[in-house]
Amino acid sequence: MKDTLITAQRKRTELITAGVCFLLAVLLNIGSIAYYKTPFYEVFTQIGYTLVIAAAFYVFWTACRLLVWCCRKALKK
Amino acid sequence: MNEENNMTRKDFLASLGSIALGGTSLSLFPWLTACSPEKQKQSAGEKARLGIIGTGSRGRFHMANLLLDPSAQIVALCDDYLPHLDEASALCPEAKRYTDYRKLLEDKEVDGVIICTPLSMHARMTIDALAAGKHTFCEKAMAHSTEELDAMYRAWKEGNRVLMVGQQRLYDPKYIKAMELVHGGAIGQVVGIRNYWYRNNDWRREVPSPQEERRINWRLYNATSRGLMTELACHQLQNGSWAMGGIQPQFVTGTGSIMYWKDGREVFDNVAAIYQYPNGVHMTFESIISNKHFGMGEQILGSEGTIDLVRGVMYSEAGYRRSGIRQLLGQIEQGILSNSAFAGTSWATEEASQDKGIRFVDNVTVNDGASSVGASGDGSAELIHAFCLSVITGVQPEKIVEEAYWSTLLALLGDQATREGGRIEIPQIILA
Repeated sequence: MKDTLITAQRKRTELITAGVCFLLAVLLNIGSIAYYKTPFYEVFTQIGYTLVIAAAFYVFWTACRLLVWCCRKALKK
Repeated sequence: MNEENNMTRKDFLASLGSIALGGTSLSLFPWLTACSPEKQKQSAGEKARLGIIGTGSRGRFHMANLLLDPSAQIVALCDDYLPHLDEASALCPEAKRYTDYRKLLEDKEVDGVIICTPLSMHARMTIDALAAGKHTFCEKAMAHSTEELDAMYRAWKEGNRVLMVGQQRLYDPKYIKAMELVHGGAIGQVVGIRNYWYRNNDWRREVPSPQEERRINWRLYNATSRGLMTELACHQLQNGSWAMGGIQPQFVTGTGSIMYWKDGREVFDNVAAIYQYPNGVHMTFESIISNKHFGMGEQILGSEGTIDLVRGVMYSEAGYRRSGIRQLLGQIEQGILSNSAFAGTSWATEEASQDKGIRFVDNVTVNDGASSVGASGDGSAELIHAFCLSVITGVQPEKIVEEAYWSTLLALLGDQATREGGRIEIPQIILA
């Protein structure tokens, strides 16, 4: 088994991706608070839902990127 | 236990002051004026000299409360079943013993009597006690038949002695507070009243010899009892009259059977009755004594809220709201499901409200309803204390006999409906 190298660029990209996903989830929570007229403190109390949604976004985006990467690789052959 | 009871009574008496301040509240509980702080001051240091007629489990339950009450003195005991009389004498050795209640009624030292005998004896003993000039407390239900009920009411009305009936909810602080909320509009318009009482026991007492069966297990036989309707429903049906502001139902429909405890008993082991009020509201009562999962429940349903009388909790119809993000996810989920080809959303189960409610009385004692005798904190101690005050002052608590009359009448007619399996019209009697 060979060593795997994760580049600083890759780490930065993944961290930015996760951050954007979390931000989108927070915005979604704020949007639903405004839409359903529920208390603003739900931004904090519903953090569990926000994290789960952020993770779902991240998984979805990663799946999309993998698909694009696979397509590109296939076209190059 | 003693301290707990005293605290309950102290809290209750303290609450009387605040209730007495509000005229509207007082009109809902007119019987409380007879034990107002003024009346208590008036009777301070005096004792009601009482005779207990019927020293079975309920009689001794009252004795236990009376022995803690500084305004009570038990001077006489009466029972024709000696084991019970001996047990009562052990609690109160200085009290005189009688085996014939008429002899006790002749005793000049007795100011008032507490009747805790089988239902079929209530009317005769109460009428005799009032005629003998004794203030009288009779256990609920008032009577075994509507004829007896009317005779008791007339005997009291024509005399000048106090009559009280063992409807302890009328003195239970959580019921009083609940009725204040109902009549104050806290739950909007009353749209339904639900009562149920589930147990899982055969309702039998141990019998020393077969000859004593009908005397000890009097609740199980038609000649002495009206079964679940008079023994259990009678308490809960009173809630309906109270919540509906004294309006009485017009009809009762019922059904019942002996389906589990087929042991020679004559009264039903499960009943269901529906009472209909003139404005269309229904009050239900259901009892099964072969399943206790749901225990005891008394609920007043309003257009804007619900009151759970047993637990002292009020729920709002708007009540529990899910968070914004959960509502959003729920809507997305519903959108996906409603577009599915196999079914619409109509199949989805309608869940009960998740509202946790507001407790409107502190230190509520929740009873599961399993005891046939009584439970701590159910209003019995307060009721019996109020009777002692009335014996001392001679003041009849207002409307309390009328409340008892109606709850007994509804129970008796409910029993008739369960036996006949049909709808019975309830006479709109005006008690004058």
